[in-house]
Amino acid sequence: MKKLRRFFLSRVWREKILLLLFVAIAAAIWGSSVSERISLRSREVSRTGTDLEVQRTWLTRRAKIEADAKAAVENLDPAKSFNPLRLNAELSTMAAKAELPKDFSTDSVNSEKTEDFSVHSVIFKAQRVSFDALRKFYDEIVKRAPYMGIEQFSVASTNDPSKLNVNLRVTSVEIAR
Amino acid sequence: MSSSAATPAPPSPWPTAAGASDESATDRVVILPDARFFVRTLSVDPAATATQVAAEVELALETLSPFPVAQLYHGHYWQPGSSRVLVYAAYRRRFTAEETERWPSADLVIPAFVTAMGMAAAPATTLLLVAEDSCTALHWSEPGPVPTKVLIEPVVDSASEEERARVRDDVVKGLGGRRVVTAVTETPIPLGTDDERDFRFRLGEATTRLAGASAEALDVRDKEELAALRRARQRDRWMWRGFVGLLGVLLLCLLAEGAMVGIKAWQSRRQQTLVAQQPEVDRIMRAQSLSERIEKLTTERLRPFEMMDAASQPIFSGQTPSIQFVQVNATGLYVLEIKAKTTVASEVDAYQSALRRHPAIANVAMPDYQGRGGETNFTFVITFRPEILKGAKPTAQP
Repeated sequence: MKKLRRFFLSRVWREKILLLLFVAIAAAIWGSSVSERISLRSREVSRTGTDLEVQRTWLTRRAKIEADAKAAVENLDPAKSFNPLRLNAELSTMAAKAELPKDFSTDSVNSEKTEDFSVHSVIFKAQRVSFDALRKFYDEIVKRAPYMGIEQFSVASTNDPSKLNVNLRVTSVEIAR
Repeated sequence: MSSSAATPAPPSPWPTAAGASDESATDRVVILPDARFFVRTLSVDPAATATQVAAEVELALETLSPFPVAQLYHGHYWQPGSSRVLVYAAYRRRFTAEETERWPSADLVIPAFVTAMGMAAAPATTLLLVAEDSCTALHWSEPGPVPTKVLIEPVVDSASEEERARVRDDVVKGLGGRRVVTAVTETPIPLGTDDERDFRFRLGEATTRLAGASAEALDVRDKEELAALRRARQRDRWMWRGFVGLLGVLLLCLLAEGAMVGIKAWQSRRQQTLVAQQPEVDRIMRAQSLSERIEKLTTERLRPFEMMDAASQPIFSGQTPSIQFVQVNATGLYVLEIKAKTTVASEVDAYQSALRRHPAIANVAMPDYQGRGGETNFTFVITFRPEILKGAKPTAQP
């Protein structure tokens, strides 16, 4: 350090200024870059820490959640549950029984699975349905609870005051045998 | 240090030299030949301040010197409380431009004998400094840092050893013929110091130290130039501090870079853990979500008809007969969104009031209301009370 001090102080005024300027620019550029990267890294570390904490919470609760999940389907009869094919077939049967127009439609089944059970859902659409027929169809679904249920319900009026357009999301439970 | 004169040399009054000559110290100090200077010891008030002493010295020089003070290089040595001040001066023209070339960059410019100042010399101490071109004698007859008398006798270059010895004897005689004399034949050598404020010198085998605080008085250079130099040094010190500070920032950046490399490796391991755990966490979350859905399907169900019954009661009871539902959405287990229209705008408010009075309804919000060409379109978001809704049986017709 003494040598550096001697070197610095022995420079002429202009050289001292230039040296200072050079080091100041280097410190500003490097310092700014390092500070930016530290800030970025710090956010990343913090985010990862939060994610890991969330994961740890879930993993800590694993045993209880799995026990709850088992308990949720414990009292359900696997034979009465509906896989995607049975869900579609049952909807058709119920629609026919409730005298819904034959041009109803169902979208592809969306399934979510665990080791012990699955939940399937499908969007059911029917046009120009009478209120009575819709009511019968609803009653049929209610009869199949808790193996089948409605999660979303939407009706809209049509030009014919006695008819409705129907849009339902029907959900079914499938218990693994 | 060597001894001369009739008796053996007494023990040296100074500390033994320690530390080698330092190149930077040599650059910092310019030592001038004693022969160019005339020296006087003046009496001063011991209670005087350094500024007062400096003023007295200038006044004394005006009377002592045949030249104006402005044409002199001069300095003085005084210590607070001392009743003596040693004044030395030289005519400026006795120094060539080559000789003064190094002065601006030096920290101290003094005659050689000044390096012996500041020594705690005991009374009756005489020091003889023998140089190629002069012989200087300093004598302390009384206690105190300032010599009582200083004699400088020039010696010509061509002088023989006998002639030089005679000059030495003359000088000693000039001091009253001291019998005990400590002689130094080597040129004083500046030494490096620990704090770089004080000035240390090797004088023969001894070391002497001049306090940095007294340097301005000791220095023979023009006092205004010295002041300018001091200001320049002050500025340089600040620049150096700034330079060191910036170097510190660069060092911190370097350390931060190193730390970031470590953090990156650690973070990478955490990311790997995160990715490895995610499938299991997803499975648990899915199990939780699905078990909740099954729980809802088992214990609770969407009751759109029961909610529509409650919402259409004011219409069928004749309170708001003109209202017609356009669309009904069950957006939650206990929330119904109704888009409706009417040709009687006043019935909207009546309808809302009727709904609010219904025991199964907890809240009615109207996020949208538009009137156009005699027809009013509006949207109600109705929140039901679960405990009452669960007990209701669907009966109504739209």
